[in-house]
Amino acid sequence: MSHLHISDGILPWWLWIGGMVCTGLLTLLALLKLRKQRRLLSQVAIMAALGLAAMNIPLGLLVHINLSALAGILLGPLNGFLATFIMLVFNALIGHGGLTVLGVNALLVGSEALVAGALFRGLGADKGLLPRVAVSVLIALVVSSLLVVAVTGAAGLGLEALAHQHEEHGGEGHETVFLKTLLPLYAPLLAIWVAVELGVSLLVTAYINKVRGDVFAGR
Amino acid sequence: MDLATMDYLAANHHCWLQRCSPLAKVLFAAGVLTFLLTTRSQAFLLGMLVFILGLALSNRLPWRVLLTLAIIPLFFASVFAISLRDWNVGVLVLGRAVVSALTVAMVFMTTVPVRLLGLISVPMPAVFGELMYFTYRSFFLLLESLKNTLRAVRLRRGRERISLSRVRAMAQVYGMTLVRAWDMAGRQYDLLRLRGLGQGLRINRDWRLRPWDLTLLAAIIAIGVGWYCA
Repeated sequence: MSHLHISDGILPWWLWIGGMVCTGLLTLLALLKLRKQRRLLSQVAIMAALGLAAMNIPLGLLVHINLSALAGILLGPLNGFLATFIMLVFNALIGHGGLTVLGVNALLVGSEALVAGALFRGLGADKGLLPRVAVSVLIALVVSSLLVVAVTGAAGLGLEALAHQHEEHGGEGHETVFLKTLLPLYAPLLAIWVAVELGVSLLVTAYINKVRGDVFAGR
Repeated sequence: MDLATMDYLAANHHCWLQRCSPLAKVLFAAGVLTFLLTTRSQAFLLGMLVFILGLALSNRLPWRVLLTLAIIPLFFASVFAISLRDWNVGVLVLGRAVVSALTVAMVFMTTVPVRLLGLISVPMPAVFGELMYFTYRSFFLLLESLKNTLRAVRLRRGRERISLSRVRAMAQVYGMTLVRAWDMAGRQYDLLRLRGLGQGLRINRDWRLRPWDLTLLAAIIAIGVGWYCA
């Protein structure tokens, strides 16, 4: 897991509405594709449920896994994204991540499924399962983390603009230090999250491949 | 976060919010979110927090669950608030995050999930509704299995510090649960096909309004007046 559960009221309106439109389009595309492959419905749902269950079991202070990248590898990029979106809908309903920022949160976490799924298929079956999973998951987590930094940067601009408006109305002056302060706070958490998600994804893959090799056959 | 506890409350808790229609509650939450996102008044946010806690109190919702729910948005919003180094906007960010999370969660805790999922899936193709039901149903089966196996592993390994072998054991539990889930997916699909999944399974959507909805209407008007005055 390399994401922040962004809450309502943090992002500027153009960002969360844009996120909602992009996520809506991707979800619609995935649903239309899924309608023609109904047997996959149960697998998408099971993967979403497993991610949700994994999120319900914390591994330590605010660290949990979500298996999004693995969902992309097992189900394909679009179906993996759909599983992630479903998982985040339930999270938003219980206050874990905002409802209005569901689109942006889905893009941040779902990018892990999109990138890992596409890379895993693009690397070709001749490379060996574990190296393919390692490369796909690592790149997916890095991409997702960079997106998080970009989104928080945009959020910072919006919030700083709000702070400046406050100043104009008699508030105290302050420096524009948002990202400078946030990154040192976020970077250690990010490093732990990426390491845990990558390690668990690899170990889970190795285990599944040992006991049920057919799950990865033909992928 | 404990989805199972909230599901139990949604199905078994008796309170006046349970008597309001799901539609009215969803509209109420949408109204509250709109007011929260458009306000810049700390006094209004404080008033909203008191109001939402009062709503929880009048519905006898457990404080422990609410406090646990508030921690996650509080933590993530505080990362932004601290980074901003402006306490005025920081308080605004924290207030919006906590009050909106509690409002949405309260709607979830007081509405039968099937009804809520039915409403949420309205703008999407029918397959989305089926996916939501299937996920929700599977979640409880998997959570129980995952928790039991992790507990068994912990009991067998005793009090052990964090080590690579412990992480490996935990990952194997996830792997085992995934393999089981993969097998279960096929069986569940066949079972639900028999019950109409993918063949025009009718999702029961409750659009009826109820007399208790008037309290929510009064509440949202009062909130709107407070928003305007602030």
